[in-house]
Amino acid sequence: MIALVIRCGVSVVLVVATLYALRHYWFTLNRLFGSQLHPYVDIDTADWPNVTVLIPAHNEELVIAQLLNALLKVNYPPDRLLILPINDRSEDRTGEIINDFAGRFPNRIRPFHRQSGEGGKAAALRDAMELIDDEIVLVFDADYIPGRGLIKQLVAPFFDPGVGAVMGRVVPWNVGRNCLTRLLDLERAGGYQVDQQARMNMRLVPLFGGTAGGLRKSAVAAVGGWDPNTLTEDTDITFRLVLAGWEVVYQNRSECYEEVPENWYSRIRQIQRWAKGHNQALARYSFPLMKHKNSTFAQRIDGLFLLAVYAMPVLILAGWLLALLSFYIDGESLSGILSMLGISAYTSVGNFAPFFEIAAAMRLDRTRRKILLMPLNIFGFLVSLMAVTQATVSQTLFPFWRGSFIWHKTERSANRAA
Amino acid sequence: MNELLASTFLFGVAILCFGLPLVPTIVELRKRGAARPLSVDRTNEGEIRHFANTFKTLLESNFRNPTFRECLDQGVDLQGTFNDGTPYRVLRSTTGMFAPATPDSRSIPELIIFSGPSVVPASLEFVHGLYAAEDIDCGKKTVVRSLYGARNVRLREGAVVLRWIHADNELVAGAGCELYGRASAEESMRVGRGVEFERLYAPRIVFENAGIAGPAHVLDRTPQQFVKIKATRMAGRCYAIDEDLDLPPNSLIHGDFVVRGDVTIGRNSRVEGSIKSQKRICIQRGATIQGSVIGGELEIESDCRIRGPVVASSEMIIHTGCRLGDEMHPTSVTAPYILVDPGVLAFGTVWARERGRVGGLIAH
Repeated sequence: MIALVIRCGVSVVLVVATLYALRHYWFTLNRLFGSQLHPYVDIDTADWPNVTVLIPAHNEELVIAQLLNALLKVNYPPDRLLILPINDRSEDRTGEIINDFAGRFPNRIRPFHRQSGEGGKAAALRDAMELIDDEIVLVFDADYIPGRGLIKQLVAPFFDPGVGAVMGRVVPWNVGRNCLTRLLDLERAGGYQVDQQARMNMRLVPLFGGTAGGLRKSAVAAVGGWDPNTLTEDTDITFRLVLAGWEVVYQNRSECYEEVPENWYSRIRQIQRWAKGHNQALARYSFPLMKHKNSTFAQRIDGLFLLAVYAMPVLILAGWLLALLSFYIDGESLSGILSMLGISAYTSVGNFAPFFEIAAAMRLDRTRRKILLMPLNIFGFLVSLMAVTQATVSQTLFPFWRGSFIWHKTERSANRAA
Repeated sequence: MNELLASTFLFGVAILCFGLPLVPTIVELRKRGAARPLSVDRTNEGEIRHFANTFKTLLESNFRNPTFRECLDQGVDLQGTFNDGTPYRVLRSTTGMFAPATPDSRSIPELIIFSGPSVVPASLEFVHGLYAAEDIDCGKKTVVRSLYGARNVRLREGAVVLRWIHADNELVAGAGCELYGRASAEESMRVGRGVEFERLYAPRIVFENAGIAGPAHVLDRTPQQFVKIKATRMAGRCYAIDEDLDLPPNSLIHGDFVVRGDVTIGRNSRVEGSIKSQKRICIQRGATIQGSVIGGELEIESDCRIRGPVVASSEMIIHTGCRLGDEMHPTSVTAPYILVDPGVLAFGTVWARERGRVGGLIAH
């Protein structure tokens, strides 16, 4: 009986992992051979609306200046672009740097010094949204470096009245720092170049990533505004917008440089925060999404897969354990299933970016030499597997230990972009 | 064989089998050959004049003594080779200076710079770029790879532009021209019947007889009346409509509308906002849209006015007398396939991702 239960468990894991793998294959094939949807990138001339750029910044003295400098150089009409850096209870020189810029560019930069209130990016954004009048709001994390044309590219989709949020492509600039940054470069390429664009092509649910993107203020207000009780405000707002009938748009050609974590500790904390936030969203939105009548069947299924992506490592690990147990209890060899499970797990979890997606991204980006690092991706996968599992288990078993969620900021490097 | 030796051999082979595939990885990790960030073009920005500006910069950088400006002002005839090996000629005019590669060929092998007004004979083919400091008139069936006109540019019937063309003043493309790539003008552009195009930009683009698309407004003077439509408010002034939207003639509605079905905006109606549908949108004669129009397939009947961006994900047909954008509100009109009737006036960008054509039919 126990053996049968274990075998059933293994089979369930196997089926789910295989479905994820098929989904990734589908995305990859679509990206390589399907028709690509970039409906708004051709809008290069327009009566551009007023826009506010929000920059949530908590202890960002190392990077905030380069972002402000980059934003001051964009080709958006200056009289229609307000830059609003949010100095969110910083203890370093962030506030001082922002004030310096605001003093030099008083008509373009309006600082918001947030001295108290709840912690976290969502709370900072919620408070800042109350200060602005513009309908279009762009959000950049402080370590991002937008190009001259990025603001127009991100604003263009909002001429479509059905668009609630827009997401650009994130490209790491500190790639060459060490092995981790190079692996994260591969992962980001697969995730954005293939996963997100394929979702856009197939009119599924591209994810608003919380930075290098924009939102329609009235749409955010209509779905209840930013929720400070979430660790991934971006996933949360994405699904609330989708459930309210708004479209989330991904623009692969709107690239923006970012700084990826340079040490494993930061990386693990980052992915654990993402995992907890995604799992929160999974609990909140999976059933409403399944019942959502205005979403297509494909959107609902893909949305569910997207929400459950950080539950997969736990499932995979459980599957491995069950398979081993089955081997010893049952006495029969499960090596075939076990190896299939391993392959499925590897191809389906790696934080959205299985190896074939990465390979496709390298081909599309014409950076094929980077593919040589692919075998090392297994380390990233294993670390993600353990870190996400730990986060998910602690979140599931001890949900009330810490009271409210703690938002860990990703550490910045002292090394500046070239 | 010694057991120890055999075991060691086996172990070594196993290590080799697993290790050899990792050699390129380790080499790459150490040599860091691909450790640079993805190259993101942060200067082009999709700017339509990008190639024209680059071309002009290239010319300026290749003339040191005399400078490019001096060269044009002095009006001397020059001949030489640029640093990259491209042969060039600077000419005052077009009179008797062309030397095609072979007697049968009409191909001009040099990059040509005209310092004075020029009239290019018909059917010549310019393999390299063409720069005209004054007005230039290209004869019938001229083929140019690229052309920068510092004043007015006129392309006679059947001329072909392979990459890009830019005029600092006015660009006129005669009937049946083929404009591949980018075509831009700083002041205005006139595009003749039968012209095929991809990407056009000018503050004012006239598709052939634009007198038709003059300032006169809708032909039907029947007063518009507010109509109530069944819609769900999404946020602010944005509404969702779960079925087809069929707006009767002479209607007036306020707000932005996201429609799940087909859309028909009745004759002489007015929408004080934007319209979006992933299906078919038909804007009937004389209708006015104050915002943007985003559709799957889009047909804009004659004499319509649309102020905001117009986007179709498959095909767009624009009938005579339509006015897209205005002087104060330039806009973008984009679709994979665009068919424009003569008599349309556009302000800003008209971008056919696959193919655009003035009059006739589009072959997909």
